[in-house]
Amino acid sequence: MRYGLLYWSGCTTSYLAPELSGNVVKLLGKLGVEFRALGSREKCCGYPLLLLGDGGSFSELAADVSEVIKSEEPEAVLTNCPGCYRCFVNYYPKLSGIKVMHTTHLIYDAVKNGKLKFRGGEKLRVTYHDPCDLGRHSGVYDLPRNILTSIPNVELVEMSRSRENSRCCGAGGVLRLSIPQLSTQIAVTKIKDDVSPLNVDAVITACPTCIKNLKDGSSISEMLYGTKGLAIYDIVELINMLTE
Amino acid sequence: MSSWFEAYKGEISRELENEVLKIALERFSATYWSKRNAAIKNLPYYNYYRKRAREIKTWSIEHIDELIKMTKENIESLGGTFYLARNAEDAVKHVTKICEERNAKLAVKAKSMVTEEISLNEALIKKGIEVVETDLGEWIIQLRNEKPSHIIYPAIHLTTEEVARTFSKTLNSEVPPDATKLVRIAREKLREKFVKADIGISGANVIAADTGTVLLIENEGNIRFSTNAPPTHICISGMEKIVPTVEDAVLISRVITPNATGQLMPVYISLITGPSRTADIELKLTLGVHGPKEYHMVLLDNGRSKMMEDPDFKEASYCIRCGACLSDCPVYREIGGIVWSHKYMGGIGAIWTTFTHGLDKAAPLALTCTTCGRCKAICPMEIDTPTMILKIREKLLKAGLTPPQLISIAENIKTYGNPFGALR
Ligand code: SF4
Repeated sequence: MRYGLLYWSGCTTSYLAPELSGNVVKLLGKLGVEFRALGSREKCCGYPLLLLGDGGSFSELAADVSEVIKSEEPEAVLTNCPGCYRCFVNYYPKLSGIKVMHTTHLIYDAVKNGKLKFRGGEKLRVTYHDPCDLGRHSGVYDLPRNILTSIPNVELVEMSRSRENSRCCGAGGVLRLSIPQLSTQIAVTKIKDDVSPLNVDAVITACPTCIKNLKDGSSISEMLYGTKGLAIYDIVELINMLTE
Repeated sequence: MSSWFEAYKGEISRELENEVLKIALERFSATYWSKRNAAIKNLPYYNYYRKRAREIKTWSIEHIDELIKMTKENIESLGGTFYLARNAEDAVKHVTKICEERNAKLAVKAKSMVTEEISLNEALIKKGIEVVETDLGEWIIQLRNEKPSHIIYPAIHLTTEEVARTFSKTLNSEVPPDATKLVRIAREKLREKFVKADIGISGANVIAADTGTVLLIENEGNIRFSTNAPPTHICISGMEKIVPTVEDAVLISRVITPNATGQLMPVYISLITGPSRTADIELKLTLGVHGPKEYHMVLLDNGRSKMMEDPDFKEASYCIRCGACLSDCPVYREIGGIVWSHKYMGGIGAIWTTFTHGLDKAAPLALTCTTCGRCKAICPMEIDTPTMILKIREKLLKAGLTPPQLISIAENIKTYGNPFGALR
C-alpha cells in the first residue's frame, strides 16, 4: 500500500497533542506506508482564519501552503485533523489533483484489505463521537463506525444524538480559544447527558481538538456529577493499542 | 485590554453559574429532543412537507413584491387596512396611532416576536395603554420584566419553582410550584382582560396572499381570545411571512408544529381572513359580529428587503421560526437565550439581528457559535446558518468589531504559523 504520502499533522496535534502524531507515525510504520512530513515547513492550514472571518489572510496563507505541499509532489496528503481535512478539501482549489485523506480513510482501507491484525483481548465497550468537521461538514459518518465494528473485541454503542444529530464537543468555531468556559461546559454536558447513560469504557473520536475538549469535559463531569471515568481515544490510538 | 467582549464573557460566565437556568435547560433539552423525534417519526410525509416548504418559501421570496401587493388588495377588499412599515419606528407609530384613535385603554397580546423586535409594548405603555401578554410564557416574563429567551418558549429559562415564586410575588400570596395551579391562575387572571380589551394584537405564523388570510398556530387558546374578543384586531408580522396560498400556509404549519413543540398538529390553527362579518339580514354586509369589527394588518420591513436581496443572507428569510435550531443547539443548551440575544436568539438570531438591529448588536451572537452545523442539520428548511455566521464574522472584522483577543489568534497564525503563538 503506497500512497506517495505527505503526512500533515496540523497545529492542534503538533502543539497540543504531539503524542497523537507519534501514533499516526507508528500506525504508518505498522502498515508499511512510506511517507514524508514537512517538519518546520508545516504552517497552519488557515482554517481558524476562516472561522475568524479573515478570508483575505486565509487566501494568502493558503496560496503559500499550497505551494509548499505541491513542491513535495505527493500523491496524497494525510491528516488526522478534521479541521485541516475540511479546509483542504473545500478551500484549497490549488491542491486539486492531490488526494486529501483523513486518518479514518487510511484505517478503513487497511481494515478492508486485511492489513491490520487485531490482537483480541478484553472486551471494550465504546461510543463514537462525530467531530463536526468530519461528520456534518464532510459527511464522514460510516468509515469510523465500520472500523470500530470490525474490531473483534470492541462493542460500539451509539449516543442518542449521533451522526448528523451529534452534539459538538464545544471546541468548534474557535470557541475553545475565545470563550473557553462555555466551550468546556458543552463538553461536560456531552459526557454527562450523551455518554454517561451508555455505560461505556471509552469514547472514540477522530479529532485532536475534540479529544482535548472531551478529556476536560470528562474529568469535570466525573468530579461534579460523579460520572464514570472514561478513556478518550483518537481512533488511531485505539487501533495502535489493539493491533500487533 | 478590556473590551465589550470581556464584559459579554462575564455575562456568559454568570449564566453558566445560574442554577435556575441550569435546571430549566436540562429539563427542556431532554424533553424537547425526545418529543420532537417521536413526532417526526409519526409523520411519514415529513420530508415531503419540508422540501415543499422550502420550495414555497424560495418562490415566495423571489416574488415578494407581488405577494405583498396581493395581500394588501385582498385585506382592503375585506374591509381591513393594510400598512407596510419600513422600519421599527414606522410600525410603532402606526400601531400607536390606531390605538390612540380608538382611545384604547387596554391591549391584549398574543405572542409575537416582531413586537419584541420593534419594542411595541414599551411604546404603548408610554402612551398610557395597558398591555397584557396572554401567552402563558410571555405573561410570565412580562410579570418578571424580562425578555423572551426562546422564540417558541419565551419563559424556558425558568423552572416551575421559579414561576411559582414570580406568581407568589405578583399575587402577594404563596403559590405552590405546581404547573396545574399556575395555569389555573393565568386562566383566571387573563380572562377578564380578554373581555375588557379594546385592542387585540397578534403576530402571524404564515400569511396567504391569494386570500389575505393569516394563519396562527397555538395550543393555549389565548390567540383565539385575543384576536376574537376585542373590537379591533391588529396583526403585525414580518413581510417575509407571505406565501401564495392558504394550502401553502397550512403545509408550512405542518412543518413548524413538530419542530416547535413535537406535536403532529397544534391544538388550534386559526385562519383569519379580515374582520368578523355577517350578511344574515337581507344579505346586507355588516362588519363586527362576535369577532372584531376592525382588522388592521401591519407588515414590517425593518431590514428584511435588504436581507432578501443579499445573496449571502437571503436564505435566512426562508426561516419559518420553528425554533428547532435553538432547541437542540449545544450553546443554547448551556446559556439559553437571555444573554445570547439582542431580541432574536442564537445563530439564526445573529443573522436576523444583523439586518433588524445592526451588526454591532449581532456581534456577540455570531461570536458565540461553534459553527458545528447542528442547526443546519435539524432545520427543516436546511438553512445554512453556520456559513452565514462566518459571513457575519467577515463583516465584523471589516467593521472593526472583532474583539482584540480574537484578532490576536489571527495575528499568531500570520506571525508564528499557528493559532497558539507557539514557537516551533
Ligand atoms: S433557522 Fe430553521 S430550524 Fe431555525 S427557526 Fe428557522 S426554520 Fe426553524
